[in-house]
Amino acid sequence: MIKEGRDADWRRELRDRLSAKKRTAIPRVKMPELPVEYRIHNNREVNEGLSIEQAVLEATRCLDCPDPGCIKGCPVHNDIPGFIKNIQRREYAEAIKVLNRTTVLPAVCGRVCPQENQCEALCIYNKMGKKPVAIGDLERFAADFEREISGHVKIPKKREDAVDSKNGETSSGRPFYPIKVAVIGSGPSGLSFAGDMRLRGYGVSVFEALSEIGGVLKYGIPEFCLPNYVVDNEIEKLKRIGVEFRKDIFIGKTYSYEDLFKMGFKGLYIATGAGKPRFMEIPGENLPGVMTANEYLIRLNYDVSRIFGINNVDLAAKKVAIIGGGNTAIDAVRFAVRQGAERAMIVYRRGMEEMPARKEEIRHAIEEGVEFITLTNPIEFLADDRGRLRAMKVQKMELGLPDESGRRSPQPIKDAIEEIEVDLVVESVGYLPNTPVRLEGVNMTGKGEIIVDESSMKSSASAIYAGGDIVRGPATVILAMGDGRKAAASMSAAFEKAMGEIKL
Amino acid sequence: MNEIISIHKYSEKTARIRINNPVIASKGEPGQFIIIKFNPEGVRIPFSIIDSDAEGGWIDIIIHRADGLDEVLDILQPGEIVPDLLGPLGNPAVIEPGTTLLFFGDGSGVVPLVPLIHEAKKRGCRVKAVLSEHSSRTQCLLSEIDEECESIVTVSDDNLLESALNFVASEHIDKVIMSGPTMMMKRLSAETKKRGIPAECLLNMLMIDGIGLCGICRVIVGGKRKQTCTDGPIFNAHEVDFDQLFNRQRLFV
Repeated sequence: MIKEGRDADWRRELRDRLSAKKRTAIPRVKMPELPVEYRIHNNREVNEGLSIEQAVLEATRCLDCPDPGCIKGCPVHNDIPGFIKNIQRREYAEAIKVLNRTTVLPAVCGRVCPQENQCEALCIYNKMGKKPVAIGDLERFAADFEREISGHVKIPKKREDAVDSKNGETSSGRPFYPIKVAVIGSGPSGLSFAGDMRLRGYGVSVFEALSEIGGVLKYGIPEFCLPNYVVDNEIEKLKRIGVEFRKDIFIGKTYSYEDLFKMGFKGLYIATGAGKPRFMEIPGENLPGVMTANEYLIRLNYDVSRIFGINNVDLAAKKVAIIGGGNTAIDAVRFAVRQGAERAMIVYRRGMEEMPARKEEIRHAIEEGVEFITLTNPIEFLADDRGRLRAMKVQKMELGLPDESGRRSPQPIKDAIEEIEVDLVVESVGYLPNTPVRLEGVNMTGKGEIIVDESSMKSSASAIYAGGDIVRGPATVILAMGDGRKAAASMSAAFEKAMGEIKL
Repeated sequence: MNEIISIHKYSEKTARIRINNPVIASKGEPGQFIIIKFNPEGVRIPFSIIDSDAEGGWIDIIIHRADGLDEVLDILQPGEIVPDLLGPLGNPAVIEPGTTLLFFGDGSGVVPLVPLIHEAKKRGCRVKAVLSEHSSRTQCLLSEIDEECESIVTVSDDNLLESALNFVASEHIDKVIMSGPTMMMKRLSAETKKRGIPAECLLNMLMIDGIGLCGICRVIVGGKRKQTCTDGPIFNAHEVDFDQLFNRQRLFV
């Protein structure tokens, strides 16, 4: 389909219209951002999105390569030139249609995917020593355009999946199978699987333990990176094609896995993620004033701080240190800036170069006044005479030889121990799998990750598939989505094979 | 689902709320809890399951005004739907049939003991209880457990620990189950340990998600970090680091 798309007359015409030389001379678009002095006082989304003219011009830069590297770099294999060229010819609705073929979360991925390591890393422009096409910004543009427009278009109340029992098809022409599958977890992997299975004609119910659908997209990623209404809109789209969502159900507690099969679900997709916090395991980390990144982010994202009465997370004039260098750490420290912290610090044991967070996030954080204290590792949290956090003792580090992750490993510098005054420490040093409860017959690693066959995402138990962070450990939204797509393809193939055999 | 069936007010301050939820009614066991959000923008609050009926499809919780729930208690009406109710969470209590148990409760700690006392009686245990008398909860809950306790002592705060220790010293007790202020539990736990009597404590901790994500309810048990929501809420009292717990229970930030 991708190849045929490129051969369309309009695509040829676009390619012929402007020489490659002229296109490559166009500078990469710059994403408009809220001014620093404004954005640090609120949670509004920092990246404002491209204007139509910016998007069309950026789309013009794409050379529409015969063998596009970008698609290979995308874990869900979006037809990237296909949607970009539609933006260039100002057929935005067509652009989103192209994306919808392979992704259920374009507005999310356009915002939080690490495109610099994926599609954009393989863009031909890199070979020319130029900045790659802003694929993420364009994906976001297409998805946002659809959302903004759909607000003005009447959507029929009737559910699209109304079944015409005579020919076994839904009213939208999709196949309809009387087979139900259950998805455990409503994060990106679960949503991706749910969307794909529904489009393949299966009944899909998504079970979420929390009171909000969206998993980490809601409780983890802050509003200023990914607004909730963007996530809600993607979920609405899934509801419209007939995916059922059931919140406040903790599978393993509210219902067991056996219950789900008894309820008639023929297949399960476990996408419970990796949200169990790791701790540093150093003295003093149970002091009041030391919390996990999850606690901090959930309290702010869910606005549950009222549970503490007047003691909500008011950081005015407070010194806050976030331990870690990942995206979660940067999200947390930027939240601290917005909560009015006097000092908002990232304390990281390696150097700036080794920091795993996205470069854009780090840049935003620097602009917002975050202090980066690198090559520094806390070794103890110290209490005042009232027993609450006062300071942390840190060990200064230097970089040694590369470790198994390829990054130069930090080594302590002898006797280089300092003290940093802090009122709040947020530990953001990694996550462990949210190990499902009472799941028999499913093989897991010692850490609690579910072991699957990588080509099919099938676990060792019959009809139980798994994907996302529960399989791979903490990773990205898009890899989790890729797993969901893969699992949907193989589970549906297994059902179709079984149905074929019944017919014979 | 999640409809409030009835509200029984024990007093101005304390009420028992019966909520329709057939799934939790059939799955929940004594010692487990639920998390409720009373309104969509509201906070998540854990409540012990006080009683449940699988056939009737309902569960009971007890709400007390002093928990920052003044408004909630005024507003709730039968027929309303609770928007979010998650459970059953945590692990059931272990109650060996036919044993002699001493329940020790003070303040808000009395509430979660009620279902354990019911269960103990059901399992043919001999049930003794020492409860603080000034607690308004104790007063209104006495009628709930009066019949089930072989002996029930309500004493002033000052004498609470002493009378618990009298029990422990003078009678055979297989296990003490306590729920109350941390420092009180610390002392009772130390005394039972000295006498070689098994003791468990039911912890009442702040929780945010209740499914193990946030770590706010962490507690050191036997030198290891445990989460009250997923590993508790009942722990071996002899292994709990009460000093650390006490420090954590104070408000912060």
